[in-house]
Amino acid sequence: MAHDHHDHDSPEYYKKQSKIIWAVGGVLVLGTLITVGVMDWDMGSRAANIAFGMFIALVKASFVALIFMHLKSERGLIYKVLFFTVLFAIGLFVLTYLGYADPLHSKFIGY
Amino acid sequence: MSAVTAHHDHSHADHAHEHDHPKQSFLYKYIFSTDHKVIGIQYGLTAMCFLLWGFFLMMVMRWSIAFPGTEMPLFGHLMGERWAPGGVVSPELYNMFGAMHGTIMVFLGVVPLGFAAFGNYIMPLQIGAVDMAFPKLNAWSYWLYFIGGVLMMLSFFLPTGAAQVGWTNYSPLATTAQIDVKNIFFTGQTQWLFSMVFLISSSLLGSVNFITTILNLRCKGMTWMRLPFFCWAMLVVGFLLLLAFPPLEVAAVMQLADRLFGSSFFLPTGLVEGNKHLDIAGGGSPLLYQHLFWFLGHPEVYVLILPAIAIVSDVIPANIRRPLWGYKSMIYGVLTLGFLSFIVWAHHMYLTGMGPVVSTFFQITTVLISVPSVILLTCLMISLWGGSIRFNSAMLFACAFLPMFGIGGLTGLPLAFSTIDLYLHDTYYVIGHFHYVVAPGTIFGLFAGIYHWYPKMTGRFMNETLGRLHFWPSLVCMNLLFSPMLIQGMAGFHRRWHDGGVAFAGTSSGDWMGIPLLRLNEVMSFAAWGLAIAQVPFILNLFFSIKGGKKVKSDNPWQATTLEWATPTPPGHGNFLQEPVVYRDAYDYSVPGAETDYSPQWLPEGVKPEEKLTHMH
Amino acid sequence: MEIPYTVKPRPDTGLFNAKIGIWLFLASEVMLFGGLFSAYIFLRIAPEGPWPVQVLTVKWGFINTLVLIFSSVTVLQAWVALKLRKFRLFQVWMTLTILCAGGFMVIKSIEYADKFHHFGVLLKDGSSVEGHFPADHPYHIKFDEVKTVTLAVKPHDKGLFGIALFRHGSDTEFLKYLEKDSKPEFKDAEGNVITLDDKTLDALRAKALNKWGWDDVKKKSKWTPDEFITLTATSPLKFDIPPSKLFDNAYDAHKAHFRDGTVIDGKLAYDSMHLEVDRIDLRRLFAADEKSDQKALESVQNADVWRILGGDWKKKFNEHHDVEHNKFVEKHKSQKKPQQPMDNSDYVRHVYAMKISLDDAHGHASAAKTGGEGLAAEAAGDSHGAHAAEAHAGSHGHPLVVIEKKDISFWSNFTPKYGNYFAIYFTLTGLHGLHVIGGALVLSHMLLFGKRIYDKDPDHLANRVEVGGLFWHFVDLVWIFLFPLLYLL
Ligand code: HEM
Ligand SMILES: [Cu+2]
Repeated sequence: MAHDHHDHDSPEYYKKQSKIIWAVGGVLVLGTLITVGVMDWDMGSRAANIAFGMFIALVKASFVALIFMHLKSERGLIYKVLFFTVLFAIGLFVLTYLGYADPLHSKFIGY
Repeated sequence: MSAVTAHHDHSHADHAHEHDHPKQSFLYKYIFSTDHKVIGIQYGLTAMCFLLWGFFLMMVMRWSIAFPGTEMPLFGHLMGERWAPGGVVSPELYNMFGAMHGTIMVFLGVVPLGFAAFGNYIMPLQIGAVDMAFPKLNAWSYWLYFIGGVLMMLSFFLPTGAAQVGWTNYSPLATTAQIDVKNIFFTGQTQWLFSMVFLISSSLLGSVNFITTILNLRCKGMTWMRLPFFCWAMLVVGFLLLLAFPPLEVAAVMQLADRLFGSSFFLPTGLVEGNKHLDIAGGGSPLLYQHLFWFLGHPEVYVLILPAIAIVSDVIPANIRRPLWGYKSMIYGVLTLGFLSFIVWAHHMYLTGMGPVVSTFFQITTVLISVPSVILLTCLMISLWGGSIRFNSAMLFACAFLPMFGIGGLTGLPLAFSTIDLYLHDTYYVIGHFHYVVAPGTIFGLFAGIYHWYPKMTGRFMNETLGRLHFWPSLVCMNLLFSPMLIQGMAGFHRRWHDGGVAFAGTSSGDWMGIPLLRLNEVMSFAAWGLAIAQVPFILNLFFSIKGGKKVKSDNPWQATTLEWATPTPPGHGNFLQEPVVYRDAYDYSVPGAETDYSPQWLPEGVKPEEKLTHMH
Repeated sequence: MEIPYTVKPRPDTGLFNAKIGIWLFLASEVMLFGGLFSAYIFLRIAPEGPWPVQVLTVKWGFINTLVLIFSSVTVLQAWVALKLRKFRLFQVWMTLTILCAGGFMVIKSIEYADKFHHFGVLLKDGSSVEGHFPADHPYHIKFDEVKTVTLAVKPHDKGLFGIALFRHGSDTEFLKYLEKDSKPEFKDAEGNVITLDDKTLDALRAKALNKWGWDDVKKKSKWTPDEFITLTATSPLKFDIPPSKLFDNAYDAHKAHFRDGTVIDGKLAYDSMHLEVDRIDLRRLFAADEKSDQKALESVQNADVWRILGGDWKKKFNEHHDVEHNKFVEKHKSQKKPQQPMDNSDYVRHVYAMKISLDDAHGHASAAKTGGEGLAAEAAGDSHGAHAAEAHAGSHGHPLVVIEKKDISFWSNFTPKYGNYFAIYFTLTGLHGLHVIGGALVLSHMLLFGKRIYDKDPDHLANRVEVGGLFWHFVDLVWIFLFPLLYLL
């Protein structure tokens, strides 16, 4: 919610919000249609399909987070919390993955 | 709140109380209370019961270690023929008690006592809040914890017994143990997971509450740099619990699925049990479980010790009449520590075949994290320098905390290096190391807190003589108990052995400079039982001082500076009789030019503490 | 004293309490689902077998996506309505939101139920068949001439301090699987004839327990002494048992071992599985990085599935392969460096994991262009002559086959047991479903009991709805990733 707007309490502000919400809803439906539509396209490899699908999901997710969840104008505190959360979530994933990708034996063979 | 005449006795509570709510039944006032202080005390009492029980399990185990295969006097037959035939502690019983000792001590004892009990009682008072931000949620946290604890206890009485594969519950062993029964749900291993889900949910709600409270309910003038270190530590612990626990919840849910629904998240292909291929799809990864577990496991270590450090850093300034040395560096230290604790977890997994790149990463971060830990400890030690120390029981425990925690920390350093850990991993050296951290370390810190805040909670002091009778034997026994473990460990004694390593008898590893290491088992066991006896004065003290202790003469008996001492004794519902305002730093002791050697936070410039009494009318 | 900042934000943080609280909670949720997604990615990156792709019904996932999007919009409209002080409108939008949640869960349960009835069977050589059990022929095992039944009594399997919360050992559940013409009449060790039921079992247990004294335990010096009661049937019994009731699918030609410890001795009379096959998967027969389509094709020629399905299906498969292969080459030949078929996992999946249907209209990979009925009959007849009479097309237009137990290395319905994909599918969607239910409960509370707060301070209720909405959007956000990951990719 845009706390810093002056028209924050005016009915006009919320009527406009209502329209924006419908519009974003439309964008999300569109994104879903695209995702379903292209799932069987031959993009050269399944990995490409996955990457594209995840890209669209990311776009949709951004709309939800930024507009539905008001993250586009939120307070610094919340950004900080989310920043560290995402950082640790990525850390969990990347470091665990490295644990697999860098197994002991494959290094020793070269010596 | 209307003007209530302040008396220096604990009838305030009732006064203050009756103004807000006309009448509350006993049930709602003491059992389903939403008052942070009542909940704090509920947490405290429950957690102490669990600590006692966890300790009892260990005393039984110590018998098996010292005198394997012999009938245990008094308690042996009590365990039941299934678990201790002929009063002899069976290996199975040992495993069960070992796993449950770890689980209970960590999840049901120390964390609820250090974080939930002290945090609940003290933190809102120290920031000048009327209660936690979400009182109902707070009550929910406690009751979820309670349910989780009860489930964990009930699992002892299942036909399979409680969980038996260590507090870490590694798959695949944890998945396939106790699986050949009709109803897998009612087995110790399953119930362990199930109650963990309750305990984790409780922690999550609790941490949301703590963090919100510290962020949003600080009173007027309580800026970040005036916040007592205790609250800073609680903030960091809150974040650790908030962000580190969910991956363990994931692991618990996945292991639950493996047990109950036959999935193979953590089960590799071709797993054989009892000469038979298991009827599973396979393809899972046991290491995934370890990663998810230790992602919590390591931050959990800091959840165990930070509350103790936090308590000690409030107890020490009050009893040396000097400010905390390096308050700011301690704050940056604890923040750094919190951050780093999320990226060191795989130092528990050096033996799992991680490659040199990843190993090196974790070695570096692990060594790095020792820096803020050392900063914290050093600041506390330097604080002592030149102070006029008042050695009451709280201070004794706080002082002992420093070297004990120091030993624990320093013995941890070698383990940070993978080459050394290859040798020491899973030996008694590790057990000795982390017990120095959590037993004479954390537990001593918690004792200090109890002696220190008891007068605020009850209006009476705990008995000093009993306090000393508690302290000195405990200190001696703790060291007799844990230092031999370091020696045994270096000789290669493995942890989790029910017979204490009889295989070492007469071998060269069983002998160190003429000391037969096996005999150390007996020393340690007697020290453990001695430690139990040393707790008797404490328990007596805790209960008898409620009615029989010396009454406090003021609301601020230690002449301390933080806001909890500005409340009536004990504080009533709503805590403060008047909206508190903070004018100065948290540890303004012996401020040059001040008339008294303490300048409380609520004291405006140029006013003497006596003039502005703790609560004004 | 009141707790401050429940409605108005605190000036320096700019936030009211619940707003901080929900975002912290969502942060922990990010870690929760982050952990699960990490697990998903690991298991997916290097799976040991072929990873199921597009095995869910896209229609349902698609509808549910729309349902959640719509509910995200309505929950916000409810919030706007409160801000505009239109309580009625708020109620309408909130009701819609909760109905959406209900709809979502209904669809979810339809999907789940589907999986429970769909089975996969991994054959000994690694090829697999998937399908349904015929309605009139569930997978049961039959034992004949059962003369001895051994009941396990576990007198000492008690918890700590000798306290036992549950009884351990045999109960009478296994009698449920007696065939109708068999009577549970037994002779015990002393020759008394008893009809086994809960009461008589209790008496037997009591007798067995009596034999056990404390001294015996010591003498035997065993940690878990068990006692067994052996009963002899007065006339041979017949059993008809769902294999899931047996421990770890464990039985052999003479013995079956129930989960409660009961063992029956007799003769295994029948243990063949009937399956209406809708798909076969041959991808385990060659290495995941096999580059040569020709070699791969050769390696599947002697697959166990053909023995079960019959040679005609192999012909169909090969034809289908050639058609697809040519199509692929045709399509890619214009590329500068034409892609090789085996480098394209979609190609491998379409060809080597083939849908099977007697009816042309069923799916794009249907191989049965002609003579569907004949193929079905042949298939069933081939492998189990005795049951040829039963062979028919199956109710779903799929060939019915009979699979011998000795050919099976692993089978399960499409539940978490079937493999990591279904395990993670159920775990992720299950937890997500729990969140939907939890969210719906919280929103319902606001709908039903919000009036009181609204009358006191409309913004207080608006705040609550905003906070509830944040949670609801998060649930939607998770689904935004789940839908493509699980259904499409
Ligand atoms: C003060 C009394 C205590 C004594 C005498 C004691 C003793 C022991 C011993 C001997 C072991 C090793 C058992 C084995 O490897 O077979 C052990 C394990 C353990 N202890 Fe303690 N301990 C005490 C307090 C604590 C506390 C306060 C905590 C935690 C906060 C704790 C946490 C653990 C854990 C996590 C394990 C590992 C369990 C496992 O192997 O799965 N202990 N304890
Ligand atoms: Cu660690």
